Amino acid sequence: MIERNVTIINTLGLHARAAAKLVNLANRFKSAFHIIKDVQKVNGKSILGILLLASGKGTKLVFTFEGEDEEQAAEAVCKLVEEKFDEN
Amino acid sequence: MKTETASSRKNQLTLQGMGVSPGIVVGKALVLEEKPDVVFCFEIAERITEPEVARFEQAVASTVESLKRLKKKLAGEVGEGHDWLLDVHLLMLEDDLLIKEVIRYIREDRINADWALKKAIGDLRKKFTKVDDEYFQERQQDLEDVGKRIQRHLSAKESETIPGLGGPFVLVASDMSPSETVQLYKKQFKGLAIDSGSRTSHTSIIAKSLEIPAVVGLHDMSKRVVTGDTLILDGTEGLVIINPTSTTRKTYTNKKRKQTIFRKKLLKTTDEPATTLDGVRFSVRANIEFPWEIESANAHGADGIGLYRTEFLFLNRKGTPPSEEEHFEVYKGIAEQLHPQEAVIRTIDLGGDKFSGLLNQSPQSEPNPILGLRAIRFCLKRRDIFRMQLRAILRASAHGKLKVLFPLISGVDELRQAKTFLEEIKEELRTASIPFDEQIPVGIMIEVPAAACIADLLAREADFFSIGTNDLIQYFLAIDRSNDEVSYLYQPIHPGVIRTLKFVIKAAHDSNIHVSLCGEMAAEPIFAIVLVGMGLDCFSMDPGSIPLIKHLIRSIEYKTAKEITEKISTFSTAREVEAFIVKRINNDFPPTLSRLFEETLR
Repeated sequence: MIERNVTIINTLGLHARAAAKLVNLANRFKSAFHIIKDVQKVNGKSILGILLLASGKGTKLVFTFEGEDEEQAAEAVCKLVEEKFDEN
Repeated sequence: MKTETASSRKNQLTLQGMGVSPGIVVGKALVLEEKPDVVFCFEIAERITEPEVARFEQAVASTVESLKRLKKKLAGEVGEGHDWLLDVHLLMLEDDLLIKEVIRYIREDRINADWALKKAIGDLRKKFTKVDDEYFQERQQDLEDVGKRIQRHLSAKESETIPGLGGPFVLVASDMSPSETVQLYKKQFKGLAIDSGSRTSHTSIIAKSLEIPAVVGLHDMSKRVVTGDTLILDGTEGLVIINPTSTTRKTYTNKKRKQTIFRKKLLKTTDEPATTLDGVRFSVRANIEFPWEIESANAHGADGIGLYRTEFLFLNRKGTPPSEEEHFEVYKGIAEQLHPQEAVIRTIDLGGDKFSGLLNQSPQSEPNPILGLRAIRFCLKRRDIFRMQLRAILRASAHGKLKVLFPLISGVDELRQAKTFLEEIKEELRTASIPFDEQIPVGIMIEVPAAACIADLLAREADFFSIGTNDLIQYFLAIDRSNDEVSYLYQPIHPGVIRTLKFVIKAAHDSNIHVSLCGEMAAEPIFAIVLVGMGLDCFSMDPGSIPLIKHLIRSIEYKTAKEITEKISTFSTAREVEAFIVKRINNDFPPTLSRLFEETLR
């Protein structure tokens, strides 16, 4: 199991468009993916779950990955967040 | 699907229909491609829960398919990068938080997929509402859209409408059933424009009672407007103007302001009694169908409820009729709120063109539902349902002044049967020491022509009459009131109708009972004058029309109205009658009144 601390840095936060990109990317990997915000934990492959977390810019989250390709999953997903979901 | 030309046309286009609910709206059109979704909810047997789950999963799969197709199409037309919203929707369609919940509801609560879907979406929306951030809160709209898409596939309808416009809206549709109209709340829609329908169709009546300006009978208007077009709707003149010029907009904004001022003026004096200049007093009451309308009735100066329609209790239900307690809560509330004024409660007028689908009757089973098992006939056959309503009305009568009204009575026999049943129920209550008004008046609707003909015989056995001209005129003149091809034949001052009304009113007075009229004609100034002249005791109408009619009655002399009414019985056509009345108004009544007529003339 891999845990990564992540901060949402793009202007609009983890809004619908970004969330969709995140879920689509996570779905490419077999590993389970969860997002923790304070005490809330949601399935990272559930768009409704992510939207209900309402993570705006500056939110600190914990991403967890578990499965045979957890290394690759963690790498790719965290990179997406760092690159601000490819938004201008 | 709309043609290209509609959206690219910039010219102003004026369409003429029938104004059925007054008022002016300047807004945007929201065109319903098809009927809005009325979701029927019902419980299902255990053995069909799995097939129902399968049906739901199939609907989801179809929705996914159609969204993927749409995505492809959009990518081709507007390029990649704009389709992320569809991605969001597609992801929602595979989200366990939604899908597993629906399936759980189907299995655990044993309800149909439509209802389960509605519940699951409702739950999720509640969660969204709790979220702090407005942007994220708004995402429930996407969820709602997804829900609607799935719903359409469940009901085997397909559509690719565009979600989310900013109001105020004028709703444009080719047709709208009464239960659909009821689901409109003033907050969302400021106006209604429908292709079909007529002045007295139930949909128009509901629009009027909701005080939503409405125009019907516009033929193919829904095909000539596109969602987002600017519209002016004039519910008094029956006009709809698409893409108005700025000059036109200005004219209508002014007109609207003037009308608002006039209405405010009327409202100022509306609590004064409706007594003619020569001292004859008439009662003006309200026709309503929802408990919340009592406030509106009071605000508009009603001196009671002349007709309380009880059918709404049966709308949007699971398939079981409302319980006695549900009836009782409503009637008790009315009795208490209105005290010391009276409320006339009409027993259910179900079946026919109204709500037959909800009581395990398939709407197709009767070839001619309007002439079939409905209203009192239905009640006398389904005494289990009738009993619940009557018990509730009687129990509620201990809390205020209520009257019972039986609809569609066609003969003395039928009235006697109904009264006997009522007596049995009274005896039940007496035995159980449950209090009720022993003197509760029991009246009948005069809407079947045969009943009008024997009004003298019926007057001996009823405590009051309520003339339902909307239906009476239909049956009498053999026309379908919702058919706009023949609605021109609907003439309240047809000589035959006038003779009949005179006879009914006289028959009532000969037996010393009161007669009221609860049809639309009571609210039309020209007809109201004739009814005053006939000595009608009570005028009952939608609350919005009350101030005007009270003002009218206060501005005329009974003896003049009587003279006019006597004279018109010599004419052969409705047109002659109308022309005569208008002439008399212009000659005999003060100028302010004739201007009032000009403004409200059809």
